[in-house]
Amino acid sequence: MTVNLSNVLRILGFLSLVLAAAFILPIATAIYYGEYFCMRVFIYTAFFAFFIGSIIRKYIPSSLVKFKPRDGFLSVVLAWLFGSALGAIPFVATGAIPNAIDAYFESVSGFTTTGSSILTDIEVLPRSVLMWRGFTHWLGGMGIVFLTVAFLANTGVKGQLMTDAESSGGLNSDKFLPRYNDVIKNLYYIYIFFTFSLIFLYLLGGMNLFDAMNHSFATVGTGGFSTYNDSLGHFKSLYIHWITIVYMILCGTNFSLFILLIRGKWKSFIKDNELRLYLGIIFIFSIIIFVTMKLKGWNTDNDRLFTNIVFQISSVLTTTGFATHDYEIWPITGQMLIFFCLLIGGCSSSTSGGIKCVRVVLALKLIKRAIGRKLHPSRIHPIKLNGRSVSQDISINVINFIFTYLFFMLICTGILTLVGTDLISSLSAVATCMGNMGPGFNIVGPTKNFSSLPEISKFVLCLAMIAGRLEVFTFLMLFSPHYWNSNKP
Amino acid sequence: MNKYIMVKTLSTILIFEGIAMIPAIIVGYIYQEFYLIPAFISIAFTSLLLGLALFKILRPFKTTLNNRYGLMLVTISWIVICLIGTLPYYLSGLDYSFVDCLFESISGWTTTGGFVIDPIKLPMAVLMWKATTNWLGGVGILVLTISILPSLGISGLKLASSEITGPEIVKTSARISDTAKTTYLIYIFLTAVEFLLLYLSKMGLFPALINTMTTISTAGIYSTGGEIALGFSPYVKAVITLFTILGSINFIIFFHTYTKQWQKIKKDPELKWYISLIIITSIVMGVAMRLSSLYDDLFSAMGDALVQVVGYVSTSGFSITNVNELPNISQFILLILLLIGGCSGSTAGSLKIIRVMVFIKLIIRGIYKRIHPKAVKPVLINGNIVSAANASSISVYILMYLFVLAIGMFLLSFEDQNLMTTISGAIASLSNNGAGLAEIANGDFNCFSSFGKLVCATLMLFGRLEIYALLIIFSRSFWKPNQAFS
Repeated sequence: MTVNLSNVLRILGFLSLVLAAAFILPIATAIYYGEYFCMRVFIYTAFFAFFIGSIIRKYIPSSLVKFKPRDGFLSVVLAWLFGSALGAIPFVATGAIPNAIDAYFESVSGFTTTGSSILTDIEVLPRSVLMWRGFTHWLGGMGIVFLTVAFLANTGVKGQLMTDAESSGGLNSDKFLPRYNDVIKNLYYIYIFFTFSLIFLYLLGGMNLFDAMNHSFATVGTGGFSTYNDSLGHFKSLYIHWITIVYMILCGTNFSLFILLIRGKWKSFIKDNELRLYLGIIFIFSIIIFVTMKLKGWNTDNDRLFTNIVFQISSVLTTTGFATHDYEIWPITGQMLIFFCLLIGGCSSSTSGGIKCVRVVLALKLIKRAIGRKLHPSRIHPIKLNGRSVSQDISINVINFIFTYLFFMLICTGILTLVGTDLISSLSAVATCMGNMGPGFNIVGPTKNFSSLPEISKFVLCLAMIAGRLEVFTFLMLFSPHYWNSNKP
Repeated sequence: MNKYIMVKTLSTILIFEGIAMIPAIIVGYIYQEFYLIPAFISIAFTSLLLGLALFKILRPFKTTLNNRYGLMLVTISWIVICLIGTLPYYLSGLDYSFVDCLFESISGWTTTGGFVIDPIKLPMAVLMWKATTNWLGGVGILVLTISILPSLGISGLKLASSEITGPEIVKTSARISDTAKTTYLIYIFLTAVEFLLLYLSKMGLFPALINTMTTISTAGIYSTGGEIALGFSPYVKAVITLFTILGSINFIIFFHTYTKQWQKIKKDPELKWYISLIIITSIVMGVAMRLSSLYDDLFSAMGDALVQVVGYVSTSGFSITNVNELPNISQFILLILLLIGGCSGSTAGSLKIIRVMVFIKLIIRGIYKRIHPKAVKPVLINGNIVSAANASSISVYILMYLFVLAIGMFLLSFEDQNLMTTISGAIASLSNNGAGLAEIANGDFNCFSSFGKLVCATLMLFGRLEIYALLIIFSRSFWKPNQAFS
């Protein structure tokens, strides 16, 4: 039994059609700004995507074999690889990013909502190209997968299995959300609501529509691409910074919790373990950094400083990656905490990346239990998450995930150091790409970009971004011979 | 836990340390460091006397080891040993700060090898004390990891020492004390052989002695100052490398050699992985070093790579070159080797090979189970199944190790050294290596303030006591032993 290729290809076909439709936005932007050359590029690319999608739909019949999880895993990985490739075409064709690897990197960074950039000067790019760049964040944010699921109703494909491949694996399944397609639609509505409300709020803050749309896409998708070289630091208004902070935190929260809120279940919302750790980290880390700075003699009367601290911590924890401030000038304690946030990531079932807070919560509980067991070996030490017992299987899965995540990070770091980048840059580049955050340290710090890395490194980082987005296992599975042939012993 | 039993244990420690100071006193005498001798003699004398007195008074009380009291006893003993060991440094009239002396003592007993007082500047008697603490610390670790900790059910090492090699121990020597005795003998034997070999290299009696004591215990090297053994001849490098490897493999293997059970040596799971790891990383590093402008021929690059790899993976922590000048991949490899560590049942530290083996197999198994969720796929080591309980215990141990490491890095970050120094300082301490990268490349921890030094010293204790023992001090039950539930 192996992968059913026709099922997989049909998914990619749909993806092409969706992307073809998505190009409408940059086309409209091109028309508005009079960038006729770019407009033609986008139109041709749209037709190309439409063409591929139609061919696949026409010539590859719906398979009689049911769509299985196995097909789902491959589909998801290929969707990201292929979708990014399609999305990179306009970058190359308009001459904005002539180098193919660089264009692919930027596209993968967009769709995986990472926000790492190889561009050295963002502001010279045509508006339509920037709009497309920002839009890839929004699209990636809810997962291209989710989009295609919404359209897949009539093909008999079980949407649930596909999204299973992407989501965080069983920790937060709630009994009162029975119909999966409904769940996805609700999440999608929340996502759209956040997008439009943020655009509105940005407009109120004085941004023009172009900037408002781009930054909204980047915030709601927790991506981090900006239309300016100094990222959100370009805007001096405290209002804009704080609105962004609030929305970053919102979009890094578990979206199912919002559904709970809508249904009036306040208590469950407040008591959620993951949410508490998430907000707790933002609060406590910000305070620690603020106090440390005060002790080291920084000028803390400046109220910008506190805003900057909270902004950076939120930005990194939610894996958005906007920069208002160069955290590399912070005291090392601050930098260390930023690095931890980078690894921890946001909440599960959000657009954030990283290991995810819920797993960190569980890991901490496991550690506490291990100590308790040594002291009281005959006692029973159950582990509870949100009041419900956590099974042995899930605990094993969580630990396994953390180990696999770190192991994959080390392998990629090794490759980067092999081709000549220093340790801290390599490690932070890999960590930030896997966690889909954006900037790292040293060579890839918040005031710099990824352009100076060797091409091999950029390619490895593309894989790291996709692997991180797909929670590593989905990606690594494809390397196992057992995946391709389950009759192998 | 009886207070009397605790004090009785402390009395044995006092006696033991008092006796341990004798070599240092003799050395002081030989090198005519007469200003030191009165201090040393009085410390040793007081310790011995106090110990003997307490022991005699408390003789009727018997000790038994059970899980949690055993852990507490082990932890307190180590802390007390380190505290007493501080005195020779502090009271020698040489004007070192208390924190510095405490750091040196802990670094010595945990066989870490990091220093804050440059070994070159130490008087010979104090240097001898340092080496003695290393050597005895090595014994202590062996006894801890081979006998005591497994019987307390700590951290999955039961896997290596009882499930795989355990039955053999049990057959040959039924009680903990017998196993311990055999271990001491093997250790003394190896020490004697290395000493002889080093003496033959004409480096002088005292340097030979110091280097032997510090390499067999996988602490480091002191006679050329810091950890850099720049002036050593190839013969010396070879001897030191060989005995470092010997000090970092499971001591059971020596037992098997003695009883001529070659089959069992071949079957030792860690040995294969350990040697393969050393060979592969040496080759990669050697090639990288040759390709960089540092070396002119592949042979010397490989040789130095081998020595460097062994130095770090065994958690000894010596360098034969400035590690900061090595190519990036080499630095990365060294850092990873620090996290991996040596074999269990040896004087090496860090996670240990057996746990890393299980770690990797768990990852592979995890991927397999995603593909076939209902499959039954146990983790196998040498064809033996690793029980779920053991695998789980090892996993949690690794998690805790990383957690303590993170806390350590966080605390060290207050010292405001650059990121690499902070990170490698924490790793070097927790893994009991003593040397890292950046500012810590040759084992000199002076870039940190007293706070940072204390953090590092605590990390060293954590690493040596395999984390749990020390963490228990932080739990409420420890302080209220008569309370059933906390």
